[in-house]
Amino acid sequence: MDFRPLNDTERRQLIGALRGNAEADQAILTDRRDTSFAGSAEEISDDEVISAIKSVPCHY
Amino acid sequence: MVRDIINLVNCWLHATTGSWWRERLPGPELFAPTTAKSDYRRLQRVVVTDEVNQTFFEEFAAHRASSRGDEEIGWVLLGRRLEDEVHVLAMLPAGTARSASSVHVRFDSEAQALGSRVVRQQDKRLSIVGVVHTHPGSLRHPSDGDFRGDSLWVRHLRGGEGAFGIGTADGPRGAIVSKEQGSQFRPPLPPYSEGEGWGEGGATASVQKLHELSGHSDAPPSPQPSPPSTGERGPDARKPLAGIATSQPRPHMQMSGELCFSWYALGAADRQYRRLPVELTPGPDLARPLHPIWPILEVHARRLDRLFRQLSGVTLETVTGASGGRPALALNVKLAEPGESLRLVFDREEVRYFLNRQGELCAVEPEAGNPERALYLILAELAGNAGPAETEEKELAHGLSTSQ
Repeated sequence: MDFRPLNDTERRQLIGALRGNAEADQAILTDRRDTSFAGSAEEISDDEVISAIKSVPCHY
Repeated sequence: MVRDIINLVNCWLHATTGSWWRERLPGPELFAPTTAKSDYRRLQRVVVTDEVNQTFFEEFAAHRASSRGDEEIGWVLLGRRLEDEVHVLAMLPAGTARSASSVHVRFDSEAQALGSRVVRQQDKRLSIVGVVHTHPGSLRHPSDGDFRGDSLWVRHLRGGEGAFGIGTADGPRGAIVSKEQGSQFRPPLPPYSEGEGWGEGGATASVQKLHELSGHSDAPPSPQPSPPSTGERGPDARKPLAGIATSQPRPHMQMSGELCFSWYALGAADRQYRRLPVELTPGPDLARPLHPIWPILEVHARRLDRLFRQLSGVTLETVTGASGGRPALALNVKLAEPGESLRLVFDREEVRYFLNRQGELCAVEPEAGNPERALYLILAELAGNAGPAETEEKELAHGLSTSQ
């Protein structure tokens, strides 16, 4: 088990996941190998976001 | 169904069995069905952070004063889609490589894709929630051409619906409005109201620490908060227009002087846009540090995006460059050894390479002009240096074990 302190990004993500869990019943994901924090169910993949960006139509 | 059966059995066991059973069984409330929070309803409002709102007006004003001021301009909106509202937390510029005229604008999506990767390093819940673009005349409503594209595009968005803003410059000139008179404000959005914005010590704080640790004379530049920019303004034009106050003559409109943004919602099944009330809230523009370095992002977008996809442990951040203290882009690649990383600093003129070993930085000069190739050459060199020692250790260990 890795007991190092969380860095800023990890801390921010964990706070966001805890908040989502408390306020909106969002699941907190854990790593199946060591039960470490692995994100929240509310996360959106890069592919989904980039697909939306690359398909923005021309505007008139 | 299964959950309901388990719940019923659990309740029955609690009611009928002895106390030793009750001590060992989880409470029935743990099996209670959770409400599906991912169900989206029709958008009722768009909530914009005050910094994003300020960036809209500043960059629209700067665009109008630029050499391409008669063209349309726009931004992609990054934020959170909630049940019946969207929160706009960042805006990605159209870029200098956009295709635009007085009647159309098409964004440079490669730089925006990379920009989204950078912003979403901090919060993977952020998604694309809409688009804002401007009209040169006084049409404060999306056009028929906009509808044809947007009605198909919204299928890519969470909830199948998007927020669309139209910027015009047809308001009364010189109208000054105080904040008290002006827009409707709502309480801050957590967590960004608590000093956890991108530009407030998040990504940059760790870099600052890194540089404080290093005593190297050729150390990479240190990060500083970046001023706003459209990505096309000169360095002198990047000073923030302090104290932009906006008024809200109608629930779906924001005005500041002659500039006006009107908001609409559109879903995939809608036959027309509908007016979308806009509210402001204290909060950051999470993409703001990127705007001054947008031209650098545009130049290297394709290569950097490829690196993001090929390597794990890659992060991007803004730093202050060596040439005149201008902002630069830094790519960090985590190495296998703890506390070691590679750092590529993309300035407007050059790319510099650094190896960080436990906070000690040293400059590297790979013989390659292409940054992507240079990075892999450095990694190959490091692998070559690490290889023999590891092999020797294994051989030694193997020799010892066979001799015993």
